[in-house]
Amino acid sequence: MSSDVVQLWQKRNRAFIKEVLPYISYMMRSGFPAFLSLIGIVSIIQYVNLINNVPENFPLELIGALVLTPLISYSPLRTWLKEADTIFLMPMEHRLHSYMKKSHMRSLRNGFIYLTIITLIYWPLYRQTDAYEPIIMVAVLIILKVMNHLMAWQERQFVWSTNRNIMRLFRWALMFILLFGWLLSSGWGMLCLTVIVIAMLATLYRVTRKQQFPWDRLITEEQVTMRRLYSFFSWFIDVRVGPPIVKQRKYLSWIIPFVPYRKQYTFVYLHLITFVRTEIGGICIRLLILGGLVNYLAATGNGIDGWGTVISYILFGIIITLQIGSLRKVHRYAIWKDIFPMQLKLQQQQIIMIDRLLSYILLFLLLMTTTPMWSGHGSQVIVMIMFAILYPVVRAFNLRRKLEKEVDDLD
Amino acid sequence: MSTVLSVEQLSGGYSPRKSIIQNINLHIESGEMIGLIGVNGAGKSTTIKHILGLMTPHKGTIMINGTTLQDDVEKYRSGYTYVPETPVLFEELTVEEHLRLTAMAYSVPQKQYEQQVEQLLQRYHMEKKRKAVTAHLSKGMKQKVMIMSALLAKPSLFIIDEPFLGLDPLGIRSLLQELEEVKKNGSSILMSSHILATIEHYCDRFLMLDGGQVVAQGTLKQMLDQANQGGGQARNLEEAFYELLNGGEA
Repeated sequence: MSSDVVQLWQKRNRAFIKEVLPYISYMMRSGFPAFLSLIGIVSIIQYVNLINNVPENFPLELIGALVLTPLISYSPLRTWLKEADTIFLMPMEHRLHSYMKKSHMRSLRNGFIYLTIITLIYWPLYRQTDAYEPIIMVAVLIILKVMNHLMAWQERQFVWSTNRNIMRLFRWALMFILLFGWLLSSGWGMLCLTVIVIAMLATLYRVTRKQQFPWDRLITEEQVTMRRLYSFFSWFIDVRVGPPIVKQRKYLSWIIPFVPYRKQYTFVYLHLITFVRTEIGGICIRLLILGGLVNYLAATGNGIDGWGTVISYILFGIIITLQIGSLRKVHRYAIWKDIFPMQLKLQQQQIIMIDRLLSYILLFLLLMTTTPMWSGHGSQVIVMIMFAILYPVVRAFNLRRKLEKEVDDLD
Repeated sequence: MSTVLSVEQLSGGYSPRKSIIQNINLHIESGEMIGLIGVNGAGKSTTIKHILGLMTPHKGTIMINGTTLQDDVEKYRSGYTYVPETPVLFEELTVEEHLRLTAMAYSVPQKQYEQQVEQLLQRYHMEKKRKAVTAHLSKGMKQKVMIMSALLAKPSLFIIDEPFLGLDPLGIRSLLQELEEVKKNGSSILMSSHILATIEHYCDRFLMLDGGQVVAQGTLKQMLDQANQGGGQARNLEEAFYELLNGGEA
């Protein structure tokens, strides 16, 4: 009886691969793999340099905990579920065990692949810690990964989203503490703490109100994943774009009222809000954190006499500002563009203005993470500052050309 | 009284070879409310799209406050606001941000905007939703945001497509009161609606379309006269509508 739902899962899995393959082909032809290879080569040079000359007091354990926590805690689940399934699949809910098992196995398999790769990369640094215990560490990582996958599923079942968000944050924080602890010491004390933490979390999950099968949450998660994927593919080719996923992001939305109340800032205001509340801003923030971390490590490692940091800064600067480019596409077909009393040229100027403004802010923030190598590296710092000043201007020039071409194409 | 909207001999459609609407003439004076009526596919939306400047006419001219779109885009567009049948919002903006955006686009002075926005939020019972992202609002609430945005801009012409769809009874009453107020202040309204029983009490004149052509126009009395020319017994707009459409066979 369960074979039909397993077949359905497999069919959907194949359909997904078939759907994304053409876009992957566009991506491969775009030069992006070459770009990634370049980043990889630079990172390897930097990293080998760091491994061979680890500075005294370098926070090996903290870096390990920071890198491993997301890999241990983050447990995405691809279920291929769609809105229509609440009508057609819901009556078969009691038979979906095999269907979901496939999703869980896929998620765990992928999770372990990523964890293994990153752990192997981190291993040379881990070897230099005082608490180096390879077998124990591998066992801890495996147990924590599986436990986190199970706990993430329980969180999906929570009735209230607030409970889920709080528990998820709490779990991530606890995992960071546990990993940091295991990297500092692998004694009985840590074993006891781990057991206590897992028991405490298990109790909390048990007492929180849950639903049997979180249809809405799984469908939303699936939509969000697909949207992110298409948002990534949109770097290379125009793809179907659905309505943006909206998040309040109160920690960032305080900047919105700073846009002056003037007609010539109407589209700056609109696009700034779009940046803050949609996935574009989310991706930029995540990339900024990642780029900042890589830059900081490169700067403290001082590889290739500081030029490694320059390359890393420029590469991440380009990747982050590339995201901002998607902003203009969000409202490209909005009816209000043709109804608001505003010349098309003024609208375009404002789109260029917000692109340049955000580029400057993000490049400046990214530049700040390179400060550990500033002293004694005047030329390298000048190159980075020149890039931060000139690159947004180059972007603005290209964007103006693209916008003019789009208007010509429409005409 | 001055002419706010002037449509002369308008023909147009999606394909350059085939006109969906033909020879439409329409004049709206300041302070007038005109009801655009007709069955689905009669050409109401196409006419509105041409007036909005979203479609280029095959023939004829459209002027708002004496200006065509080709003469001066900004002046033409600042002469009207539009409330579409289905709310079309920037979903990531909060209610308040949407109103601010519209006010900025229409160059509403900041002080005036700040005063008006409070009144509108109160009148449409949206004070508690001011910080809510519009993506998370119900259809009726989204429609209220559209209406509030249009009212904020205070143009000389309001173009409203099926305004009552999705509104609760309180919302409909607020809107009708608001439209009366708008008229008193000298602005004009072009409203497309299927709810004939309601609009017959509020509109000064009507324009009835069928098959892309004007089949009747005038005040309620003139509409009834035209409908009853062939011996019909129409006593209200709805009956006149059926009579004009198919000789009384509803």
